[in-house]
Formats: sequence, structure tokens, C-alpha cells
Amino acid sequence: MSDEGPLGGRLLGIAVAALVMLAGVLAVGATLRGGPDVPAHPEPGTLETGQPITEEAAVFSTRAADLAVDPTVQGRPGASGRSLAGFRALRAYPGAPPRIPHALADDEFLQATCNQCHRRGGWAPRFGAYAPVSPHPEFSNCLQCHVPANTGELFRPTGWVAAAWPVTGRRAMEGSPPVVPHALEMRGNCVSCHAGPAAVAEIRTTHPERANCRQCHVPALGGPEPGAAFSRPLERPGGAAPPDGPDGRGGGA
Amino acid sequence: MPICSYVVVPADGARGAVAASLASLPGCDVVPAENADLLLLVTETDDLDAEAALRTRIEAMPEVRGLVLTFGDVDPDTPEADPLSRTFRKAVSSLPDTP
Amino acid sequence: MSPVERRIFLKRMAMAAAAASASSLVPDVAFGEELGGYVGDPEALEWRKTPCRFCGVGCGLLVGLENGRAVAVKGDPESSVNRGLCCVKGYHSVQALYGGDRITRAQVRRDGRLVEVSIEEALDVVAERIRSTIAEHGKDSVAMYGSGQWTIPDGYVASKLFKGALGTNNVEANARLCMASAVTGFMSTFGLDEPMGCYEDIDHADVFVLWGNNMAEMHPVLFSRMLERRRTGQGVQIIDLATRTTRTSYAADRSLLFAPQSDLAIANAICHELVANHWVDESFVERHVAFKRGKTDIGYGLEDGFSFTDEATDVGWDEYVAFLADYTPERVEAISGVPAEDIRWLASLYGDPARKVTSFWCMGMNQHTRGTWINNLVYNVHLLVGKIAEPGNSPFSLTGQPSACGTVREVGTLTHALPHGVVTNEDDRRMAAEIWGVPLENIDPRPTYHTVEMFRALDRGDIRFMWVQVTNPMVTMPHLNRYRAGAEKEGRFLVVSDVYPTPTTDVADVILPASMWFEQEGLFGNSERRTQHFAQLVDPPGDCMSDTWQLIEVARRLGYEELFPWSYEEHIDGIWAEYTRFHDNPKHRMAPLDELKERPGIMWPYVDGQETKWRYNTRHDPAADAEYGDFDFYGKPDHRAWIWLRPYEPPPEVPDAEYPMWLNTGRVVEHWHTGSMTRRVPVLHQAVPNAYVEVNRLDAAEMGIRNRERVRLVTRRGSLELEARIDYRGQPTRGQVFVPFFDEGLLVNELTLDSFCPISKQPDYKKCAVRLERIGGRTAS
Repeated sequence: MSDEGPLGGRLLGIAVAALVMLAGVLAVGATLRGGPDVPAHPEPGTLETGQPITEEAAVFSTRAADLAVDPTVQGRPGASGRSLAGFRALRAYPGAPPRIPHALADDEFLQATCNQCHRRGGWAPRFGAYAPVSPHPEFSNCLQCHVPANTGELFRPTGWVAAAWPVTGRRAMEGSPPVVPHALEMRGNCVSCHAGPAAVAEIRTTHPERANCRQCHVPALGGPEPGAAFSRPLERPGGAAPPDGPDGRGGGA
Repeated sequence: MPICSYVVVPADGARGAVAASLASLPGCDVVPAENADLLLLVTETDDLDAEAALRTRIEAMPEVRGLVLTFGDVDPDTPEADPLSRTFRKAVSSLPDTP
Repeated sequence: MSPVERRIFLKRMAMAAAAASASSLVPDVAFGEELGGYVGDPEALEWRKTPCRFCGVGCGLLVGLENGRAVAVKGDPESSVNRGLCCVKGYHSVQALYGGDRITRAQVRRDGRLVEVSIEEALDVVAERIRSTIAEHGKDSVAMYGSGQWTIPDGYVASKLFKGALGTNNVEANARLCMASAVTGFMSTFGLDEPMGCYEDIDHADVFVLWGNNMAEMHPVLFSRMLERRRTGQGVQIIDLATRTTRTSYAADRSLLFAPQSDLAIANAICHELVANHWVDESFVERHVAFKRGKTDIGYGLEDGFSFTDEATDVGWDEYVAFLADYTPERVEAISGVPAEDIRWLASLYGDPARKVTSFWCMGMNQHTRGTWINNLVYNVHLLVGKIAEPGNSPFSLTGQPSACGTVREVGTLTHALPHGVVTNEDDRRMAAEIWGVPLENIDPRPTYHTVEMFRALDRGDIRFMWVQVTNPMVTMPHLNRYRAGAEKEGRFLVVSDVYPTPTTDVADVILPASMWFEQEGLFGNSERRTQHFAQLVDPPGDCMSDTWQLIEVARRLGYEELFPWSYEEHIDGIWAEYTRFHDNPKHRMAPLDELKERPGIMWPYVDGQETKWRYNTRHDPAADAEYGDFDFYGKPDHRAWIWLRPYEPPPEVPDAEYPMWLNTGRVVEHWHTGSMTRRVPVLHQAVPNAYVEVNRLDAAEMGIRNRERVRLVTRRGSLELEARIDYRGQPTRGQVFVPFFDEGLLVNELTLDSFCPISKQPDYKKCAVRLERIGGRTAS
């Protein structure tokens, strides 16, 4: 393994995808067998814990061997690649399902054969590009969320203003791994946008061979406002004697 | 006292003009790119209101097409005023969807 | 850093961030000379090596220094442990030095209030209190409680002061809560502590079996190394054997879930299959293995003053086979819930002579009321097939803390131990007395209290004075309500050396401001026998003083100047020179300090300039005698490793009608132990700001509990209200809940049970009976 080396040459090598959250399409059907109330001596096969947690499982769901092209490969020269601007242009707001940027044959539209290309990725001669890998190939009713653009016109002018894209590359120090600025639902599989020949150029990882992404990159959403760290109350909860010095020392200074 | 940085996208051919305008503003340090229509801007202001006012002023410049926040820090004296907070960020314009 | 420097620094950071964003928009963008004044040149920072101070993996870090402060971190590519990669804690580790509420002045409690005093005055108070407590209540009324985060010099001077000078064996460390079962497992099977193999085993193994070990979060750097092995090797498999579905399960090729405590039965069933299918390496067993039976029905340590000593009885192969007859896969399926065919399949992996197998474990097996037994049983599996002590064939006990091995295990900061050997052995006492320069009579041959019993003794009043360093027992002790109340009783005096206010400093009578990590010179020892030196890289803030030097200052105040004669500049060199005399033999020789200062760490035994990667293997270990064949298990007098006949016995508290579920506790990747450091790192705190309880989706549905709803957990010892999380980080099996313990505001250890392994005295934090209640009004159907 080579040094990740965000300090090796470029100042800040890795940027992180700017996606927030897809509208609630995550339908989890809990259809698993139940276990006994007291599991000291469980029946065999009853210790299942449920469907995989999407955000936890997805990062491991696509292994290099499952992909048409190894994620460490950058792809053939001249291939039309994805850019961050184009990536954003396909989405109405951060986290929106992207529009389908290419024409669909009728049978593709009817049968939604998207996963033939988008499950494993790979070179698509028809487009002179590598197919982006779906971050959620377990879903196959693709057109439920992704639709093509069949006209460039608007019916009426729109006053829509999108939410701001999150700041990419936010990191605590020089060389720290950047935090994940987007939600992980539906997009926990980092390879989709950050590795392989179809990666978005600006947010391509420098180390696509590593599989346990969240070892270093942790979500920055869902917690308190950025910048805040834990601060301890001056007085211990329910305690009689506050730790209190002459200048009020004792925490939180 | 917030310190922020931005990438500024000027209108075509206006890089030099924007650099000059920004450099004349108080608390602004600007570094234009040598080979692209981009400028880097670091601002130092008294408080978040001043930062927001400065931003509004820059955005209103006709030769500025876009402004994106890339860094923000406030002194520990005013820990509640983090320019990377969601409310602050919401007000920051994003780059237009063109390369 | 002055305010002006700080603003210059921030503006430089700001410009660097803008430049980075610009280069993500226009990859080849260039800026002129002007940027040079703003953008920090990482190469211009001074980069110095240190081991990471979180977890026992012992990653090599390079810390970037500027203006006397740590400002950046990168993985040390020279370190064979992590080869340049860290985890999120490591990458942000240096920020833990700069929390806003760092303790920088000493405080002494007067009239119920903590009052700031000079550190000299506080040290006077500590020394005087030790003196008066011993005068009034005897030498065994004063105690030292340290940690696996002690540096080696910290632990060494603590042991010398208490065991050598004061003459009490009241020295314990939180590593008792962490790896005591690993130690007793090693001692009972091999006669010597610590793994025979090393991390390089990962690069050779074909099969990895993780026994109750969420390695993706707890040992992430080694986990990534294992994933790399799977990516580049042929047919490499990872099997997760666990009581809860975690990130590790998803990364594994197979995840097998078992009922709590039934790992004992599973290990025996694997051995049953190895025998039944003739997969046993007979020549290895004949030459290198002896069979022993120990006591059974050994209790759980729930009573004050509980005592237990195991006895080994010789048995033969036939008795072992008869013992295994109880553990057919079908019978074990009924105990464990693991289908018999999966047990057979697991046995076939261990039994396949063409595959190299490495087993990893940590707290799942160690925090276990039969922790010693399950350690023995996994060694049994490896010994039966001879898959041990050679590259890739490795039963590997992982460690939790950065120097649990280096300090607690090797220096012996436990009540029964000495830097070499045990207090009960006269030769070992004689060696210690000679090296320490104290009369032999000073060293008491009777062990006193292990950790749980030490806090019980504090509660009872047998201990009156306790000095706590680098640990936070008022968050980590099981059955916490009892031990906190005990520490707060009249006539108990608690000294706490720490870097941030914690629930333990809350009950302190004296708080000593400690320097941390590379604010001092020190050494750690990681879980592959690797000793790692770090220099002092930055100055400690305020009056902060290293734990080593605090102990030396107090020792001198007690009149032991001649035992601690070193100047501040030379004390680490002096301590190292003295300490390594204890281990100056081919089985444990340690590298000289000069070499340790230069390299990212060196493994012991270090003989003739060579690290020993595989102990007991005559091709790799100079202490192993080829007279015994390819392997020489020289830790035991018969030069054999011992296979123990250890049965399945149930845990002390199992779910019943009143408390119908299992309570399991543990960690998350973002937080280190009690969070007193990691919660002060913004990125880590924001990722996981508070504790929560994981509830199985079906249990939640049955009780009408929604995700993120507040619920109540009740055990026989306490109750706790917190947020329920469904399918968040991990998924417990039905009838089980899981709570991380890092949150001092949500103390799950008020609920846990203080039962322990009778042999190792390590508590079991992984299983007790709990009731989950909905607060919203509706009750469970």
C-alpha cells in the first residue's frame, strides 16, 4: 500500500461528493423470521438480525471483482468522463435523483434494463463513455425515480431555488481525511462516484483500492452544527459540589 | 472575527477587474488564477453580519458571476457563529452548473 | 500560538481551502507567487514520528509541527503496522490535545469545593495523604489504579513505588477490564503472555475467523489490511462469528450469528469435528501438545472477597475425545443457534491442510465470564490442526489500548505481577528487589485486590486512598452505581491525574493536570509485541506534568529519592535501562533505546539485531530449541502447549420474564473508550454525538418503538433513558440490545453486571439481563 499522501503533492487531494438526500423511496420490508423471546437457547437459524443496514452494508456491497472495470483504473483516454458541474446539472438539488442523461430505446424504457450497464459499470461504446456504477443496484425499478429529459422547454417559468451544494473537501487539518458531506442513504457505495473510470473527476479518490472507506471518512451530518465539539457542563449532573476554582475553572473554558 | 475564503468566478474577461475591485474592499485578500477565470478570496471581518454584508456586496458586482464558500472559521470568542453552519451556508450561492 | 499567529495561520488555511476547491473545478489551475505567502507548504512542517495513542494496533503516525503546536497528521509509511494508513481517530488524534476545557492547573478539594493550587502544593497533599493513610490504616489501604494508556515508564515507576517502596500489591490497571482473559489464556495454554505471531500473519492467511470482533470499527487499520489481503489473494475468506450484525459482518464473506456465551460450545464443536473427520495433525499433537483438565462450575465473582484458583490435572487423548462427545454440531446448534452444517463448514476450514487460518478476537472473548476458557478453546482449535506460530497460521488476540501489552502486561502493573514474573514466586521477588535496590521483604508475596475487588475494597473502606491515572473508572466500572457511591464515601481520598474533566475528576479530592501523549517522552507496546518510542514533540500546557514525573515527585516527597534518582532530562533513558534488565533474556529481550528512537517500533524478543516474528517456531525464534522439533513451546516446563478441557457453562444472569433481553455494550469507530478525548475532536463528536440503544427492528415493531424514540433500559442495577436506533450502526439479534459506552452523560455501566471470569477477574460487559421499556405510554404487547 502506498501512502495516501494528500500532502504528497497536491494540497487537498480528495474531495467528497456533494449529495444530500433522496426523497423517501427507501422501502424496507421487514419480512424476517422472528426469534424466541428468550434467546438463551435459540432455534437454529433464528438469529438473523434483519435486512442489511443500507448505509453500513453498501460500502462493501460492490467489490472490485463485481465490477466490469477495476475501480483503480482511470479508463481509456478520450472517454467522456463525468465532471462535478455535469453531475450537479443532472440533479435538481443536492441529493435529488439524477435525470437520465441519454436517450433510451423503447425496450429499455419499458423493461428498465439500466442495471445491465449500471450494476457493474464498464465501457459503453454507444456513449463513448464508461457507465457510472449504481450506488444501489439492489433496486431495479429505476424509472421510479430516474426519468429522461424529452424536451428542453419549460411549461411555465420556474422560481425554484435549490439548496446550496455542500462544501467539498472539508477537513480538520492539512492532510486529514475529508468528512462525508452528504447523507449515505441510497449512496453508501462510495465506488459509484469516487472511484473507477466513471468517477466524477473532481471527487475521484486517490486510493480506490481501499475498501473500508468509513474507517477514515465519517459523516458530518446528523450531529450538532459543524465546529462544535463536546463541552462539559460546569457542574456535574445532580452533583452536590461543582468543581469550581477561584476563577470558575472546571470545564468549558 | 470570522475568517472565510471563497472561490470567485468572474464574468468572461473580467478577472483583472474583479481582482482590482475586491482588493479595494476592506479585509479582502485576493489571488487571481494565472490560467483560468477564477480568483481566490480570503476575508477577515468583525462579525458574521459584516461577513454577510460583504458577501452581498461582492455578489452584487456585475462582473462577478459566482461565489462559493470554501472555508470559514470564527474566533473562540464567538463560538456560536460558525460560518460553516447550515444557516450560514444556506445563504452562500453555489457555482453555476457550467464547467 | 499568539492570537496574531493564529489569525495568520487561519488565513493561510482559508487560502489553502480555496485553492483546493479551485483545483477541483479546474484541475490544472495555477496561482502565482502571491499564493506562496498564504499556503502552508506541508513539506515545510516538521514531521516527527509517534505511535497513535488510541487503540492497541499501534499505528505509526507522523505529526506535523508548526510554531510548537501539532497541526497535522499523516500515516507513517515506514511503519510496518499501518504502512501509511490511519483511521479517522488517528487522523484527528492530535486535536485531542487542544480541547477548550483542558485541565492545566492542579485542584484540591477543600470544604467540598475544588480549589486551584500550585502543582507543588497538590503533590505535597498527595504525598502527605499517602503517608497518613498508611500510618492509620496500614500499607494495603493505599492503591494505584492506572491504565493500558500509561506509557511504559509511567507503569514502571508506579510499580516500583507501590510494590517496591511502599510494599503493597495494590497496583491495578484498567487493562484488567480489557485483556486480563487474554493474559490468563496465554499463560494457561503457553505459559508466556502475548501472541506468538504478528500482523504479518495477515499477509499470509487464507481464512480469517473473527470471534466476536467488530474489527471494521475497533481495529480498522488491521481490518483494511485484511481486506487488502482478500483483494489481492486467491480465494481468501473472512468469516464473522458474532452475536450482532455489524459493519464487519457486511464486509465478511460469511456472517454466523450465535447466542451470547455459546462461543464456548462452538469452539468445542469445531474440535469435535476436527477429531471426527481425522483432520487433527497427529504428529504435531503428539510432539507439542499436552492435555489438561481444570476445575468446572467455577462461579462468577459476584460476591465480595470471591476467590478462585484453577488446578490442572493431566489427562490423555482418550479423555479429551470423550469430553468432546458432548459437543456434536447438532447439540451445539441447540445451544448456539448456529446451524450444524455451518459449524461443520467452519471446522472444515480449520481442518483443511491447504488453508492457512488466522483467528482474531478482542473484547467479545475477553469480556466474558468464561474469558480464560474461550481463549483456551480457540487455541485448542489451532493446536489440534497445528496451525500456529507460523506465517498465516495464527490465533491472534488483539488488544484494546496502546500500551496494554507494553505497560500493563510487560511491566506487570497488576496486583499479582512484577516486571518479570509474579509476586508469589520468590525468585521473581528476588530479581525485582535486586534491580529496584529494595530489601526482599519489601515485596509482599501475597496479591491483594484485582480491579473489581479493589473498588469493592474502596467501597468497604479497606482501601482509603486511591490514585487514578490515565483512566476514567467512573464511566467504565460495571455496576457503576455501587462503585461511584463507594468512591464518594466519607474517608475515601481519590487522586485523579487527567487531561480533561470527567466523571472521575468529579469525585476526586485532588486533580493533577497531566501531560498527554507526545507532550512528554514515552514508550508504548502494541499487540504484536512491538515497542514504540516517542519523543516530546510539544510543550504541555500550564502546569501539566507527565504521570511518570508526578509519581517520581511524590516518591521523592515520601523519602525515596535514591530509588528515583534520575534528572528530568535523563529519566526516560534511566528508567528504560533499569526496566529492560528484567527482560534481558532471549525470550523477551527488548531493543535499546537508541534504536527505538530511530525506528517506528521494534518487536521483542529482539536478539542479535533481529526481531522475532513467530515465537516458538524454531526457524524464527532463537529461544526455541530445535531439539523439540519444528516448534518449542518453551513457556511450559514440558515444552508443550496445553489443550484444556473447558466445557460450556451458562452466564450468571440470563434473560427471564422480568428482564427479558440481553444487554451488550461496546464501542464505535469514532470514539475511544469513554470519549473524554475523542468527544473533544469536532469531526468525531459530530459523527456520533451521543450514545443510543440499538434495537432489533422486529422487537421494536412488536413494542411499538419507533426509530429515534426515547426508551428506557432497566436492569437489576439501574435504569437509563436514551434514544432507540433501528438499523443504524449495527443490528442486534432479536431479544438483544446494544449500547456504546463512550457517553458520560448516558452511563450504560450503571446497568451492567460486575460478574467476572474467575480466573482472569475480567468483568463481562457483553451480557446481562435487561428490560426495554417504551416511555411513550404504551406498553409492550
